[in-house]
Amino acid sequence: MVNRIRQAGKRLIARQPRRRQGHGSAWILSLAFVALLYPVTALPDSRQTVHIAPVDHPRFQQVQRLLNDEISDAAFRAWSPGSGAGELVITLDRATLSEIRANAPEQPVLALFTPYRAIEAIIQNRERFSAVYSDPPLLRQARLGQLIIPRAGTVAILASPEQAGDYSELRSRLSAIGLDSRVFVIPSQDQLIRNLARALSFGDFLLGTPDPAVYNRETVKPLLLTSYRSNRLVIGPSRAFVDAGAVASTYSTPRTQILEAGELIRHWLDHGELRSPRYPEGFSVAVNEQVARSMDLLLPTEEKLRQILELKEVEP
Amino acid sequence: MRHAPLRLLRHSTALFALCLVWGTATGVGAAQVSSGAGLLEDAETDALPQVLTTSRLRQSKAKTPGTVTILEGELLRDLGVLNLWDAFRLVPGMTVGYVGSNNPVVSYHGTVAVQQRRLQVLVDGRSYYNASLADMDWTNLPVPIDAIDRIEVTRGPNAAAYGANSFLAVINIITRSPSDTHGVEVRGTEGLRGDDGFGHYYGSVGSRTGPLDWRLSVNQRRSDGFDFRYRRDESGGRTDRTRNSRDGYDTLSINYSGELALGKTDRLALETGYHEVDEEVDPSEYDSFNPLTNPDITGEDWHGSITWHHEPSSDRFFHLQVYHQTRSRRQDWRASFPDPDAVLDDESLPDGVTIPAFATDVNEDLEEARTHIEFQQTNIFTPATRVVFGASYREDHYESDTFFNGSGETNRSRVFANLEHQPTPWLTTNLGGMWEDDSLGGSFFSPRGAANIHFSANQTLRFVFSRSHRLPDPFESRPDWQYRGENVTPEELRPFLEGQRRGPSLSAASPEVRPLEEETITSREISYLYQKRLVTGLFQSEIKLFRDSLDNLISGVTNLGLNENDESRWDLENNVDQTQKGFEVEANLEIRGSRLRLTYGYLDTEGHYTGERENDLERQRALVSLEERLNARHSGSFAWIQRFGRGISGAVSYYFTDQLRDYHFERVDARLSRRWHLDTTMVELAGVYRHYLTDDPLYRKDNNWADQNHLFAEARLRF
Repeated sequence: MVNRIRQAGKRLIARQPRRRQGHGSAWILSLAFVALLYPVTALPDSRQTVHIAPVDHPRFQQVQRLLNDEISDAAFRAWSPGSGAGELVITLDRATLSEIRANAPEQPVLALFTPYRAIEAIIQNRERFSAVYSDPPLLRQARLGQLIIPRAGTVAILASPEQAGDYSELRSRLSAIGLDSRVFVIPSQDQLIRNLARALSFGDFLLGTPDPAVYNRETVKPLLLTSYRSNRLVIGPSRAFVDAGAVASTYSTPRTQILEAGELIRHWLDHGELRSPRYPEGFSVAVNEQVARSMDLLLPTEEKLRQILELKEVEP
Repeated sequence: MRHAPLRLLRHSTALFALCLVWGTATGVGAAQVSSGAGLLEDAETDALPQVLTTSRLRQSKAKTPGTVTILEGELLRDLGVLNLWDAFRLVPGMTVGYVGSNNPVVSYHGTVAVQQRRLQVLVDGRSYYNASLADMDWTNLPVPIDAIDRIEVTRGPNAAAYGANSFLAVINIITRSPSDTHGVEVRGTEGLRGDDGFGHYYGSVGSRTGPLDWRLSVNQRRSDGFDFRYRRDESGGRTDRTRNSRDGYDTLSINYSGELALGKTDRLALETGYHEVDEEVDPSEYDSFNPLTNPDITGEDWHGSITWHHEPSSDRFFHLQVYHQTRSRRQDWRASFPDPDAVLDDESLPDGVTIPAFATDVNEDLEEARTHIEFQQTNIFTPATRVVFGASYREDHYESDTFFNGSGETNRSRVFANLEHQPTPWLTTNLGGMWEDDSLGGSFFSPRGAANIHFSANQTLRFVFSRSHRLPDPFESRPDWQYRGENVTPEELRPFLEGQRRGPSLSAASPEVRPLEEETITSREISYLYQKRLVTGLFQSEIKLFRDSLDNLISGVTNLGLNENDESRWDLENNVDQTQKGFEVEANLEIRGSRLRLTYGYLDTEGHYTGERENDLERQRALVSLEERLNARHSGSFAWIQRFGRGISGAVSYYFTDQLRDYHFERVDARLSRRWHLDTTMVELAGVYRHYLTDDPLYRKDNNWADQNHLFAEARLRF
């Protein structure tokens, strides 16, 4: 799994220097020479600026460092409201995203570490907007479920009333890969178990979704325990759920997400336009070995599962 | 008690190898789950608490120290299993019979049918094995199939984990947690043809109130029993003429279960229930009393249980359970004695008095109560080493004027421990035992050891050795059996008979009642587990080879007889040794939309008479064969569950038992169901068809269906 992340990183890193070939080493040498002659503060920065917000986010440093390493012809700075009109801002959480979108609707934004649903709720106008969704694509998750439970023919999805209507596209995609699905609405937390019980009587597994009204700290215990006791597995919705007792999930590490954002940023820098938001292409698989063993599932390794899933994703 | 089973390896070379590896190998950790930090992808779901901790996870089959068959409640419901005892036809080596007036009996590796007393049956940790008249009352086990989470059948003795009387096997029934059953569930099943007196109704309502998850359920089960039996002639022999059986029952159970969360580390599980029964008994079962009224049974049972679970960390946890249950049975009828001389001794009568034909009320009332307290702790020192230990104390109180001339009490204290150790990744060992002290039978130690050799993730070879004891129950060892007459007619006899225990009797003073010792089973098992992940499915199969020695079995009849010279009178004695050899297979295949399950058991029994009392070879053979009545050489099952989409499912199951006593059993069940998942409701309609492939009686000549085809309709609602 770790190898895979490294490979993903390497692949991105390896690809990027080719794009920088035009700059040439002589340019860098002369820049270094000039830098020796002038005080650094006086250096006029010809690089484009990309902003990162908020500065107090725990991942701020990591994002800045990785992007600086990857893209040397842009300066990655902390965002301060009102500055850099027309320059790209990378947001690191949903609050900042919605704040910037509300206060500076014209600002180009690339959202990181924000799940698909949250972005859908915030972003009505997709112009000057891109994102690497933080959550795994549900089709990938469902395929993982199919791999882990070969007999699976049905899948249950739990949804809050607000999100219940959002699954029609996913459901038709699931049916295309041979999974009959059904959405069970959880009107409120105290109605979770009664609806979960019906969902478990329908589905061979439960497809976890990034619906915070359903999957949260309060519900994790009843969700996982009731499913396990009903001999039903839970896939996802996140790696944290796997640690808690879901059998498996795909996930993309922050590093992978940042590096894939790097590709979108490069496109912005080169072409002045933002590509459509997307799910991370690089991913890993996390399996809760204890749960898998206790259910005698005889799973292949996480890396093997990832490879099979990757193959399935490139298949037409 | 549900701790990991214990076994001891008998083969000395293997034991030596085991000790060697144990002593020298350093602990090898099993793969641990990476406890990845939160990924900040969503503040709500970062760094969640671990929910499925070791205490909540079931043991993988590869690691269980013995063969265990798991019957999920869902499997039973999908197959259309209508009676709990029928579920055990799905367990390799288990047989089901009906004795007396439609009393189901279940056994693993057979032995005696009437008062089958060599199984331990637990429901959520409560033992339902009746203490005084050692027996299992399956009709009145208050466990609706709807409420079953799963049944774990440990196939083999497991006294090391469950205590004495866990002799041939242990049936551990686990009901659904109230925290899984919020909402309303209603199910009704009605017999339409063949067994049209059958009805099964279940309703439950549950929710969460504050920190308490609770469920209240009601279950009614009724049956009109078998269709016909054979009329008897004057000597008691069966004629060819048939008549209707009188062997139905009607039971009602009300159960409440709750689970109270007490902070992060503690929870209390509460259970209480009431059960009542009206059971018809065919008067011919009491022929010697010439009954004038039906000897029907009414009864009431209560149980209450409280279990405290404490889990301060995922590698150290315990539970403390206290339960109390009572069982009360009323069975009285009016008996008539046209020939009083046959049943009354003359000594107590004044000279010159001759007793004319008379009638009197008699009873077989019985009260039982059990209190049990148990503590069990698990410590996981390293991922490769875990210890389970604990202690328990149980008190049984019984009262019956007829069987015990009053009341009595027994108690039993136990201490147990099991060490599971994985010295190398390819070997899991279990070593443990239980020491117990019984007020009737003395002190015993029951050891068990097992070595699971993992050739690969797919293949495990198990060696198991275990020893267990069964202690004679109070009725076997100290009966005081005699009937008391009440409302005697003609009234002139009342001075001699009214209110007195008269007629044939048995007590510790009777020469027939001999001191009995404990029975012992020594079991050796080699089993092989093969699991394979297929492209579109999972395959699992387990083969068990066994050789069990059952020593000192108590065989004989437990009849009172008409008088001391009656040949059918009580003659219990430790007088049979039995060797059981054979093999069993259980295989399961799950592929998309389908599940196939196959079981087969082959049992070869060799019994010897070892007693001193009987010189007649014929009688010796009879005593030996009495202990083989539930032994079937071949038995098995096949089940196929298929989902067809659109909520339609089908299941076909086939069960057979070759030559159980004198009869062959073969039955095919089919169930077709359709489910509708509406917005807030699930509706299911199903039909169950049962076809008996032979017209042989079931176990006993008097257990007959008139129609080999039975049809049932089922409706279920959940919201």
